[in-house]
Amino acid sequence: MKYRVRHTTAYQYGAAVNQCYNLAYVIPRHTSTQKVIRSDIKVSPTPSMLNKRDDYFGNTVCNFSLEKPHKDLEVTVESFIEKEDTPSLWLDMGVSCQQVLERLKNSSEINDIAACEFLFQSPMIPHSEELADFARDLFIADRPLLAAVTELNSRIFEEFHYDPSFSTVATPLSDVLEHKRGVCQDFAHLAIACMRSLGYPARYVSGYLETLPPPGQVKLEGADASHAWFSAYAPGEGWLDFDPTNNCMPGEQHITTAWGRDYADVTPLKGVLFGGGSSSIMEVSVDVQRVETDS
Amino acid sequence: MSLVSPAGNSAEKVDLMYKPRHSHYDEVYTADGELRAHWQYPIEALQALGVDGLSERQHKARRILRDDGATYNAYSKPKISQIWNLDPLPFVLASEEWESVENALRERAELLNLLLDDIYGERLLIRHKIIPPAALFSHPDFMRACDGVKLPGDQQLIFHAADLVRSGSGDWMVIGDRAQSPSGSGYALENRTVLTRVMPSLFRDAHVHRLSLFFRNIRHALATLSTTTDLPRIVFLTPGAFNEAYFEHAYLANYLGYPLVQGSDLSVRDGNVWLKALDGLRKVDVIIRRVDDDFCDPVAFRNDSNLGVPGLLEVARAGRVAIANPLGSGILESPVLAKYLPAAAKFFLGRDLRLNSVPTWWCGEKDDLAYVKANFNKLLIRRTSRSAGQHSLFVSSLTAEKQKSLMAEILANPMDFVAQEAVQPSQAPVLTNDQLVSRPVVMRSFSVATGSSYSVMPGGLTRVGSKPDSLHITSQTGALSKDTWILASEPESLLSLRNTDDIMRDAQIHDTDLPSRVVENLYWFGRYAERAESGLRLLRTVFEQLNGIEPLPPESYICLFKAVTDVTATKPGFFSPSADFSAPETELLDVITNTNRSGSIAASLHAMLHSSDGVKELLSSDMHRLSTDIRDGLDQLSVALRDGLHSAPEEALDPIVTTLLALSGLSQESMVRSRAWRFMEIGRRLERSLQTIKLLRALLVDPVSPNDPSLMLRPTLSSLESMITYRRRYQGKFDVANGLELLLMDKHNPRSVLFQLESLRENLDLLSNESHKHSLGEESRCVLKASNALLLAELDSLAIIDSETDRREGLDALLDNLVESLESASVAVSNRYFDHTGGPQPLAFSNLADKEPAIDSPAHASRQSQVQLQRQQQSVVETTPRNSSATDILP
Repeated sequence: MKYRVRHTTAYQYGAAVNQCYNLAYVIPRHTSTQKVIRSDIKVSPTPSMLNKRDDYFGNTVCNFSLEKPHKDLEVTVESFIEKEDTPSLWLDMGVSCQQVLERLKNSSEINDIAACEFLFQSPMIPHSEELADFARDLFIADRPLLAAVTELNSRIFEEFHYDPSFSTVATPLSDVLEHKRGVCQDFAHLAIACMRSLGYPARYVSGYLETLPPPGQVKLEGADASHAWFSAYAPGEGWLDFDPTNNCMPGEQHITTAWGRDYADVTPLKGVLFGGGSSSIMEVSVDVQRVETDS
Repeated sequence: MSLVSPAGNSAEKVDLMYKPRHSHYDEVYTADGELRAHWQYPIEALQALGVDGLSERQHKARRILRDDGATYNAYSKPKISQIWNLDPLPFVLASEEWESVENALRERAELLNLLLDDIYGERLLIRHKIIPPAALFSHPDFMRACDGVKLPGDQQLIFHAADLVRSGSGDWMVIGDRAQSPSGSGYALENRTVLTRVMPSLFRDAHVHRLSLFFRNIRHALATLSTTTDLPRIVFLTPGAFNEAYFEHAYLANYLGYPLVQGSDLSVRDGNVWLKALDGLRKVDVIIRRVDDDFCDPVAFRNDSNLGVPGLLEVARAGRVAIANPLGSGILESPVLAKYLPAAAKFFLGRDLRLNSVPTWWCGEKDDLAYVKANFNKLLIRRTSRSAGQHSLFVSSLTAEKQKSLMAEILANPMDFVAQEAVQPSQAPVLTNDQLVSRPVVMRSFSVATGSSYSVMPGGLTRVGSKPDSLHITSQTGALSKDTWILASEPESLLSLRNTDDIMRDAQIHDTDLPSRVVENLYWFGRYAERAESGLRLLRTVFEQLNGIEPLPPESYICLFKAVTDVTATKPGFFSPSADFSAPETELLDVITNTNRSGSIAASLHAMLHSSDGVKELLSSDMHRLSTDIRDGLDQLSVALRDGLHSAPEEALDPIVTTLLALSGLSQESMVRSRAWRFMEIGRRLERSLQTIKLLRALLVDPVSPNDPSLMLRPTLSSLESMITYRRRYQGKFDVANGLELLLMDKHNPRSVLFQLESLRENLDLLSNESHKHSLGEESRCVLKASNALLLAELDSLAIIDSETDRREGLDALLDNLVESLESASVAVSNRYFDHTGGPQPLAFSNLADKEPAIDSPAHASRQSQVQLQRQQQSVVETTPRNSSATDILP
């Protein structure tokens, strides 16, 4: 399946911004099931500097700066993506939880060592006994790891309410756990925190999800949203994605932008500006469309 | 045990008796009580001095350190700068021993360099599990954003410092590494400078290795980091005046000849780093930094940092600026790495290390954690990441309860902790309360990259514990320091070294490289100094009147008190309806000593000192001394005036007035007429004219007594220091018209307003000429307007009292006119020189400032507030001059 993803972020500042310096994770990366045919970033007004490079995790990151006064800023990315469908997997088999823990401790295998990157606390995901307790009963020694992760995924989906009004980027996980509310980013963080607190590697994935309109209706432009889920590591098998917000394993309709330890590693757009006054308005619109041809 | 003594001097010999403690390794005596050979000469010489001599040198040293402004700020006591503590006894090491330590330090720096390159490169140590992946991946100082950022050349680690102790066996070991912005080399240099001054002959005859070559190597190392073919511009980045080691930053920047800058002085444009200099942006090639990794770039790291430069990391990544040490190097300071250094040495160098680290256990390893649990009491516990306030803890010194909670903390996050063996450092003699006592010693060594290896400073910064068994020996915990002497077997050739010293001194900071923040500080330094002086003079006059030295009719007092409020801008003060003119003491005292009252003498002096802190590197040591005198004078003032104003309070003010005069004299006589100097001068002249005008208006516009219309001329003259001139010229006939001639229009009287205006014109024009050839700047125009108004005024019409209003209306109008022009000039100076690089387009901004027709136009006001907002966002440490500029213009 081929997709065209259009992602626009627009800022209107209360007062002129004299300079701004930004970091953007908005260009999708290649994955084993995803090919980026083309992806263009446009910044308006024209930036003084813009460059793309691969970051520590292999994501594409854009740096750009605007060094002249401006009152608004618009960042638009248009990407053409080819997705392979992932065959549905039988997860009630494979390495057991116990085996995973032992193997990570002793392995000299390069992928296992690299996975250790995602074992520890990170800026937005602290270690927590509370979170370990939330999932402890699922990760039983001789149970296949992926079976446990699947159940954790469902548990979050069932016990938590999707509530965009509840959390902000800064809401700590303990609040999310206490009130059982949040958005995709919180649920992904929560699952990762549970797994890491129990000693299993897990990473954060940011991207998009194609939404289909109700039957008989036309899909509205810009109605999609950026999305987030998590990925678990099974030694020998690699990384497998799970989407706790939708209780599924991401497939053809999930388009990956970037991954890291948590949201802070792959924030879509962040930066520092001078001036700008106290009030600013931000608008984001995302549009995921199926396309027949490349452009 | 016997002391080897020179002939005679028996009494002093006894005085100098030093008793080593047998429980410890002693630096001076062997366990058998024999004097170690390399101490023989120093001890003999010190003995000849005797304790009295030593104490005298100690006091002298302290005085020099105070005069140099050598301070160290303890975070626990903000606002109080402690004078750097130097023991007069050096720490002495023999050449042969030092040579092996030096080689080992070189090797350690080489190894850490390989580690740094690997951690932000291939990570072979992780792939081969030489270092457990968890030790790196769990570490908060591992900066993933720095991955792949490299300096040109083979060496990534430019500066390295190691803290060394000698254990009971006599072997040296490393207890900690500093690898991002090692501090202390400047203090070591200052220690050396001071000690050679107080003990010149001892130093000379002992054949001590000199330090200057090491600093030349630093300059060389930094210059070679630049990729430009031109002369590289190298800047020294400091977090600012509130940093503990700010003295050192200013001192080293000066010694090395680099501009001292703060994050807000730098800006990233067009993919380069620029210094916001007075007349525009100047490209920076190399940054020597004293700001920690996390704070250097709010885009890449902590976004709440005000100390860094947004976008800096990307410029470094592109190789368009070199940062020493490179960003991310803080990871090398982690004590976890110490545990794995021997394995890393085998891996990279194929051999064992010559110098061991103190035995270290990492709680993230199961076996190590078990050891730590079993031997908890014997260990020193440290966090793997060094951040302020998190001291290392000696378990044995904790209460049982604290031990338990510490263990719980470790078990909750074992990876964040290491344990180290609690080493007993060797001990050396220290002069305390006129006695030599034995204290534990830690030595910090310094290395800098040279060619393919490292050069080690022959010496270092030695610190001694404040108590016989001090466990924490850091400057933060009040340790004393010592100069470190490596004794050469024969005198060093002085010739070559002297040459290099000359190179250092000749390397003057180029005038145009001054950050505009610095000139702004100088400008405010000048203004506050004048403000304090004029306030003090008026108060002195008031006190003289009160004490009846030259009594005036009672009605004049109210006028004088109100003048105090006016001149110091401390309203309501004596304008308050509840003002008590029969008991003015309380209010007068408050105007002098209340630091928290804007406009008070104390507040102005503090603001002046704060401004001088911001330009420390530009002031001579004499000026430092005078600043320190003012600081002390302020303290003494509140003591002297504690009991009210009964006994000659004017005399309590004299010392400060004298010091202020000395300061202004010094800036006239011994500062180069650079652009920096001009800004100080402009500040002074502008302030003095405004203050004089305020005083004239307060005392002369409304005649107090109908019988004697010139009644208030006398106090006016006396507080403007023009009494003698007046008497001489007008033969004692007091007449306002004459007074006004002398105080307003006499261009030969250095206290007259016209004199200030002419000087202002001259300095403004000289500044302006360097950039704009033809057009007159707004600030010059304003000053010219004021001069013209003054020159065109008729003396008689100024002095005349309007029969209807009973005021000198002509004078009032002229003074109003002058104030308006001068305040416009002040705004124009600020706009033109201090603001323009704050925004993104320096050229457009400065043009705008020049074309601005009216200073209070709304367009201007909004731009001004924008710029101010920007400053608030960008700078945390620079507050006084900036905040005050808004309130100052219209008091």
